[in-house]
Amino acid sequence: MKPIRQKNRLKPIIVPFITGLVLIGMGFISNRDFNLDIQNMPSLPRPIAEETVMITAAGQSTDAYIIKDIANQLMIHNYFIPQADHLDFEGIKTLVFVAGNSAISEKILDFTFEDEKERVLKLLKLAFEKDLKIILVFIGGSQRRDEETEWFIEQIGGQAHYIISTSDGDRDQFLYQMAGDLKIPITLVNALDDISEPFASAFR
Amino acid sequence: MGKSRMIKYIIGIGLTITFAFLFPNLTTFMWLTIVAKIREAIVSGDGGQLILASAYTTILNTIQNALLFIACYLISLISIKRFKWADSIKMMMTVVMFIILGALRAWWIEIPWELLTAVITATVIMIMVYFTYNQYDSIHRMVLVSCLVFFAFQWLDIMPVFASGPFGITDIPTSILLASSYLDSDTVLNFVGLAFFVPLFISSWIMTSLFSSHDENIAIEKENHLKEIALESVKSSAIEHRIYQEINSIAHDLKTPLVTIRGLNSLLSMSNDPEKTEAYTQRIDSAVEKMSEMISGFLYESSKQEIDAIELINYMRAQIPVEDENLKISIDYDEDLPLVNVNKIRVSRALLNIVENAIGAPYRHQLKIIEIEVAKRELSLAIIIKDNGTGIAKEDLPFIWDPGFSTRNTTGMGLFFVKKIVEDNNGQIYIESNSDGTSVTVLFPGIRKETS
Repeated sequence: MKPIRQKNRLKPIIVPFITGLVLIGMGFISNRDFNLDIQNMPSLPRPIAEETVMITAAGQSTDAYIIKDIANQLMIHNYFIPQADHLDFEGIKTLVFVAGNSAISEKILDFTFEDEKERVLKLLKLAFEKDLKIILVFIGGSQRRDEETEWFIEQIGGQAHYIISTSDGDRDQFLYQMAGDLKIPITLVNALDDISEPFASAFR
Repeated sequence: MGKSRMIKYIIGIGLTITFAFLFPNLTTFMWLTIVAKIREAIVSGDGGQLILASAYTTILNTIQNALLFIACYLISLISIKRFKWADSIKMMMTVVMFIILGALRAWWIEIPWELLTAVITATVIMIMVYFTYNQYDSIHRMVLVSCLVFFAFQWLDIMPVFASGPFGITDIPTSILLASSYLDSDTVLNFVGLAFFVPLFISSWIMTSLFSSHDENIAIEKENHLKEIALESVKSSAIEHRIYQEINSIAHDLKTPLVTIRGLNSLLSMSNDPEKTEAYTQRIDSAVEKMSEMISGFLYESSKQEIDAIELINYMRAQIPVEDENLKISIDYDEDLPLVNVNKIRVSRALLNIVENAIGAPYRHQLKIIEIEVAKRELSLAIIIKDNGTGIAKEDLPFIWDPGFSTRNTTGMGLFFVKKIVEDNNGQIYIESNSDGTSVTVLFPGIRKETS
């Protein structure tokens, strides 16, 4: 018969107690503010874009729906077409890309990253040809900064007229430096709730 | 491990790994539902949709992680059995395989995996198993525990309090957390996550503790069972030994009449006097009768005779060893003692056993005094044997009739046999004892003497 281990009656209590302490500690650590000590434009001093706006997703994450909802609340006329591949819509003056790659969405909607890249590049080209203003919005935070999303940010940011991002999404200051190099106005907000003001300032 | 069992294990591993790898593809419609719920929550402002999306996400992640984990556990089980490595090695191997296969699956199906959550969960499961119950080989327990713990920890991925931390870093949890932040539902989601995590985690600990207690109880029962078997064996040996003792004693007692017969036979062969021959023959016959009585009394327990109390006591008295000069035995008879209907040989052996116990008992005084009183008690014959020893401890008294119980390093079968013999002869026996000595009373139902 297998020898019975001497059961330490404290172990069933100690281990979950320690696990709980570790999780609470992680919660405190994770909620630290990551305010970046940079010159940050809270909003544009004057509008650079016009309605009507086409809002599309670059990467098909659900973040685009948040921007769409904000636009609706701000009464900004918009077309919301997450998978738009042309700009043949009446009155479009501005193209808003919401960057954020979603592998799940790719699986569900049965397209690949290469397909999405092609679409975004096509839209950028069309926007350039039609002289549309381009706004890059990135609200996914550090969790969304994977390789694919970085590609979208780089491509779109390089041609954008305005960049709005959360500070958590630009911890490495990549966006800030890119905006500085290309002389593109950039607004970094601390919380998602603060997106409305800079977004509205682009139009009004 | 038998061949058929090995095949079952391999089939189990194959099925679980296959399902674990195919699961995301098989549940595409569920992931679509989750994404739709998140979108709907953002559009409608309904935080409830977000909670539903969270629940679906945790369930799906639990199933696919648990399947993979169980597959790794089964692999560790069969691959290490022949090497007989320690359970701790098996557990580490399970966690390592889980990480490798999980990463492989994420790469193959191109869907990100919450690596840290999964690894922490797997490690916590192994810690639970290691510190609580003994049976790492119990598959159904591992399945139960891993499902509970995975389900508990998956909720951490959708809690906004860990938003910038190591949990919830992949696509769907990030979408849920962002939507929650936008809808100001952080508090609700934190509360829901905690409401699931805490009770599930505690339940899993309780379950493993219960398994541990169950194992301990089983082990104790097995041990007790083995002890009982051993005890029964010892008792049987003691009873056998006691029987041999009785046989030896009877055989020894038979020698006396045999010697008588031999002596008389010699005289008979030398005698020509018919009167003397007649007398010798009668005495030989008497000795043979005595032997026959002794053998019958021993062979046939139920064989009883009507016997006078004095004859019984005298028969017993003749067998008491009296070498000890510090021993004084006195016998006191009442008048008008009733006859008793008992097996003379066995009852005398029983009484002799009581006297021998009194002789062998520890004494405070130099002189051992044993008083045997033979009295009439209502219609019964009472034989009371008292000694002036140190007595029997009060806590031992209830056990003195138990076979095998002894306070003096003996077989402990004596009083057990005595009681049996007394009761077989319709008698009663009881003991009183204190620091001044012990008194054993034996009662037999009396038979009224027929007066002619």
